[in-house]
Amino acid sequence: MAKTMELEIFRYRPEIESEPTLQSYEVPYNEEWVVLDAINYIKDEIDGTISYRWSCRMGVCGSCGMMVNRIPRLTCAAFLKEYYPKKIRVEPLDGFPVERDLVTDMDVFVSKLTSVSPWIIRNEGEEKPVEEGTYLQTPSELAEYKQYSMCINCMLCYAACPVFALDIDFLGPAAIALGQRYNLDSRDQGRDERQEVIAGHDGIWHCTFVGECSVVCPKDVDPAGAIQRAKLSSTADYFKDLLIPWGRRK
Amino acid sequence: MSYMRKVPNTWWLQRRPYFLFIVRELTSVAVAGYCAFLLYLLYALGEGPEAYAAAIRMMASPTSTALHAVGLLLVLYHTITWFSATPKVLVFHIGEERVPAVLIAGAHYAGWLIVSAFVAWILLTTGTPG
Amino acid sequence: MAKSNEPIAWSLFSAGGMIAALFLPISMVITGFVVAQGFAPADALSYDRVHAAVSGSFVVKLVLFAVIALPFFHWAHRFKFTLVDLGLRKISLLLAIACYGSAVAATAITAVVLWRI
Repeated sequence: MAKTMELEIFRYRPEIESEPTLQSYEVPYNEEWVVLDAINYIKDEIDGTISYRWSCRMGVCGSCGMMVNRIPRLTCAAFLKEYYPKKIRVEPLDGFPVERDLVTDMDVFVSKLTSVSPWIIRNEGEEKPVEEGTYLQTPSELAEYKQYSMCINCMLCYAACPVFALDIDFLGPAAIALGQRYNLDSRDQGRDERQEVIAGHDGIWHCTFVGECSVVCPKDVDPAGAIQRAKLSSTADYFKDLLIPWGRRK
Repeated sequence: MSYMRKVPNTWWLQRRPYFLFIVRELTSVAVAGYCAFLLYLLYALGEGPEAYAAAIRMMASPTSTALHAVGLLLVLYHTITWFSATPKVLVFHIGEERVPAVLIAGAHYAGWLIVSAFVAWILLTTGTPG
Repeated sequence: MAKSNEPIAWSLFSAGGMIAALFLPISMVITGFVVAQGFAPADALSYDRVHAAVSGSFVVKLVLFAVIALPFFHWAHRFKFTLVDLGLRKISLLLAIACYGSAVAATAITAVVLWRI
């Protein structure tokens, strides 16, 4: 008797229903399978109407993030054997509007990323012309921001964040970590420009250091740490501006 | 037509990390409560020997002991979580290597020990002329 | 450029949190158990000794002021955010006034109490 498992999947089809439902499927149990394999099996063999995102199936693209038994996970990294023989509930990532089934509206997230100006910003007149070669950087300068450059934009951190769940305008972990990635990059001179967003109305000051964002991050980016460091540096800047207003940062 | 799921007010009861987070935050109530108590002690000190003696007697009551016990557990939870959080805020690099979090936390625990020993010595030894 | 004044609140929160973490546990052990159970030397916390120490030294008063007032601000900031996290973001301004206002009042009371000793 082949082993099976039950997957309970969040369904939402706006053309036929105004409220979401849960639909159960029985899938074969396989020691090597991940939740994404099970969902692909459902799509291929049982119910082709199910909608979801996935791509690399190896934890680098960030596409397949979903709530698995109420915890944000990459479904390509969540093994069935972690849950067998209990049933698995799969839902779209918390905090985001649901477009259909397991597909969330990502515009919310992408606009936050853009808002932190995630590119090297140089001061007026300090742009190095191409003929002069590349900006040089030592290994220790790289080490300052490297961790924050590892983000795969999977949005698990947003799904884990209660502040974001309660306030969709919160800039959020990944966007702030991305801002820090550039702020701490020795080649960048754009920290002041980013402060308006990062330390602004919907930025770091909403964070209450729950810390779950860093716990669920599959790439050990530690966005919670990035945010707390931003709080410290923003505070230092605030008092420097207050006490030494004529001083100029980069 | 995208669907927005509602967040229940009991979100913090749904998972252990969220519950512990709220407990951590509510330790601030114990902190404020004890500081109010210290304030009361100082007020009694200012009011004279009888008021102060009454405050000391109250401090020895079972109610006081019970409140102190609960408060102490909460304040200890504050201290431990505070010292775990601080290394996330105070990040230092020496060359390429990051100063290990455990060193930063360790320094705080050492400081805690020193402060505690100092406070106990100040308050409980009668060497100083009164 | 709209600049947030949160850094002030956060600085007070951090200072209060550090002071609470360092000073409160031992303090609570002493006032809650050592004195109550009679383990303290007879006149360690006697009126004469304590009153002389506090009234005679501005430094002592300053330390006591910091140890009592700053944790109040730690509470105010943290408690306000907790109430927001528990679903009350809509009245967050009101909560801020109530919490920080209480901390300011407690600080003022602490200053007056210490002044009178």
